[in-house]
Amino acid sequence: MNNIATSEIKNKVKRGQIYEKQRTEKGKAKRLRRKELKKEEAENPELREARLRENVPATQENTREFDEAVVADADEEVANEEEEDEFAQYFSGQAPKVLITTTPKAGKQTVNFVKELVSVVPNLEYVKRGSKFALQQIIQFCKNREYTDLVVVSEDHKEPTHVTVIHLPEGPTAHFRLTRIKGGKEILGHARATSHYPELILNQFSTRLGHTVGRMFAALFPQVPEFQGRQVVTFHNQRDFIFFRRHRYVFKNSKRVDLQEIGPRFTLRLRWLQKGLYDPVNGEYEWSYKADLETSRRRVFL
Amino acid sequence: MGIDIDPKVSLLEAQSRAAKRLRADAKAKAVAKTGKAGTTATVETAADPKLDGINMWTVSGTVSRARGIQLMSNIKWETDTDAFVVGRNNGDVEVVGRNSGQSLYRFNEAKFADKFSIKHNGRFITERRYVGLGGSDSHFLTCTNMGEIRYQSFSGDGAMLMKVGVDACRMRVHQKRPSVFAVGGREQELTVWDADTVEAGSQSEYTKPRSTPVFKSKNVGNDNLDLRMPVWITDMQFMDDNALTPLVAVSTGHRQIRIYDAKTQQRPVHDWEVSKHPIYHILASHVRPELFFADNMGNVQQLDTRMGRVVSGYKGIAGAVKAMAISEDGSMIAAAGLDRFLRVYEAGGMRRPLHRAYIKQRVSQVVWDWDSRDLSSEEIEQKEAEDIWQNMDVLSQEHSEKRPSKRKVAAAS
Repeated sequence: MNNIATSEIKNKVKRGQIYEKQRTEKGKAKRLRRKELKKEEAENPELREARLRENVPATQENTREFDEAVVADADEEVANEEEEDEFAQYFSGQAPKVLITTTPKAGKQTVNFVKELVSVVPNLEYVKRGSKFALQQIIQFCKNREYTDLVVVSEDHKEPTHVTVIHLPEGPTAHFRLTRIKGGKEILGHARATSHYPELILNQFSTRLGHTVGRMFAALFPQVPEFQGRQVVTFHNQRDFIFFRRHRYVFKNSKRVDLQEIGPRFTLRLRWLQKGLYDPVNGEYEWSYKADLETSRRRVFL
Repeated sequence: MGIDIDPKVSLLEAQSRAAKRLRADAKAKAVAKTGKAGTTATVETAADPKLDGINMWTVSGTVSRARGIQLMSNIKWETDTDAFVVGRNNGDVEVVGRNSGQSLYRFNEAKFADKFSIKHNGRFITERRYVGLGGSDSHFLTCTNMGEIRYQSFSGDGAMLMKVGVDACRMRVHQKRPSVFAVGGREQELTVWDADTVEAGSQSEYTKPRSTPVFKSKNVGNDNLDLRMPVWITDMQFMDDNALTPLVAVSTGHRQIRIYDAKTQQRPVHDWEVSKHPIYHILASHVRPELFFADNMGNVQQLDTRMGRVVSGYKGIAGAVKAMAISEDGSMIAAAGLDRFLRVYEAGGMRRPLHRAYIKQRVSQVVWDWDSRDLSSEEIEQKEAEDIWQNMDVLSQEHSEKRPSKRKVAAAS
């Protein structure tokens, strides 16, 4: 029955009947096969492990294009360079002091987003943006007051759309597109934040550019977390989209640990990275997004 | 896919902002030893097969910010050894042997690393940096952003010190006459000097020279609102071999490219607005009437200097280009900069990317391994003429036989 090609049957009713029959038989065989497999694997758990090991679906992640800029695990040259780069002071123990502001006349949504960020990053200071000073002047003021970072949230149509992170005193400056913002209260079953210093997870910042961006995020948070808070901040990079999440881990019993999301959630995408302080007109770009760089879906930069 | 690279293209000439590490000390010793034994320099192929068969090796240096190389130029050391003269972050001017990697000469600019802060043109200048470096087999020539110019022989005697305006952005040395150089900067017009004939004000410190420059440009006329045009010269190139009435191409931070001809006038003979972004680096082709220019975004474009039109761009560069170099036959250009890649393109034609090498550091300077001083203008012309003759098709026997017959037919009808 199974080897009859239904498409060649000219009678429509018969064709339908036979097709249905073939379908049920196929499903039956599949269920049977799975049942047997389950039985076999229950007797011999190694088989299951071997099957799962081999059965890796091809994703865009694991078929990404070869990139010379991916940093090897034991790359001495990169490690040495990072010892002397712009973030070296933070990694040798300087406490971060971060200021956050918005573009002038920020709307309610933007201010709310900034307030969420204030709860995420310890010692983050929000200053309302007036219309008197240009950003480059504000950078000078921050430098004089020994801030280590300045974060600016920009908006469009009263919605936050971009985040600029400026590392002080000598750069670099990164500009991100900001999408898919979800406040903590919008998340179902969310936890409440505490003022403990969070733990930080930076995932898959693999290239040299990714290293710089990852170090930039790291430099916003205090070096030593307060573990009793059990709060974790994650920057997860997947195909150049940086997903921000914050969780609390909950010890259910001696074996099981659950996660409870605190929020907010948002997604960042790098638009440009500039060497030195913010100067979009005359500054020199270390990397900037260009359409002609995006040659394939499997080409990623971070 | 293996890429064979022309041995002339020493990719390593792209020295990084911070000089490279790569097991340096041990290797430097090893190289020095082989040098003594009279063998040719060690060519270390990159052990990493991912680099598509491009050979890369580190000549000298370790990762160090203080000793990072700002500028580099190739010279002949004691008239026969290929060497680089480099200017470092700490103020050192050093001659490094190209094959041996040994330091052949070192001079430290005193007070280079001193802390200071002055306000000029509304901007704070807080550090010195080399903006120009050149050399011949006997002298080197440096210029800092404070406008301090030093022309000194390697033997140590007879330094010529002079000062041009503060906030100089670039100094370039003439390709044939290493004592002739051009300087320009923010609110500083283009001046061309001959270091051999300058009357310096003082022997020991940087002072204004008593003599006048060989050429000094004049600002372009006011704009349509009768406002003065701001001056911001970012880079310049000598376009021909004439050193005393030079033809200079200049790029500006206000997106123009200008051509000055000292024979005719002080104002530019051409003034083209060619870019969307400030132009920081230009490179003139010595073979064709072309200029390559790079802006702060990593766009490298090509300008036809006869028409003043942008012909085309070079694709695939993600970060600002800090330096460009052209091959001896003018068929390829190399560009490298902040995105840590050195790329070699076909100059003109399809402008295809030919080679790409990942250099783990931000690149500050690229030098192609040939010397323009070796090539006189007659030689270039001769070479071109030879090329034309060689590329011409030879008429075959049949061809030459057929033609008269055609004529015959034509004559008959």
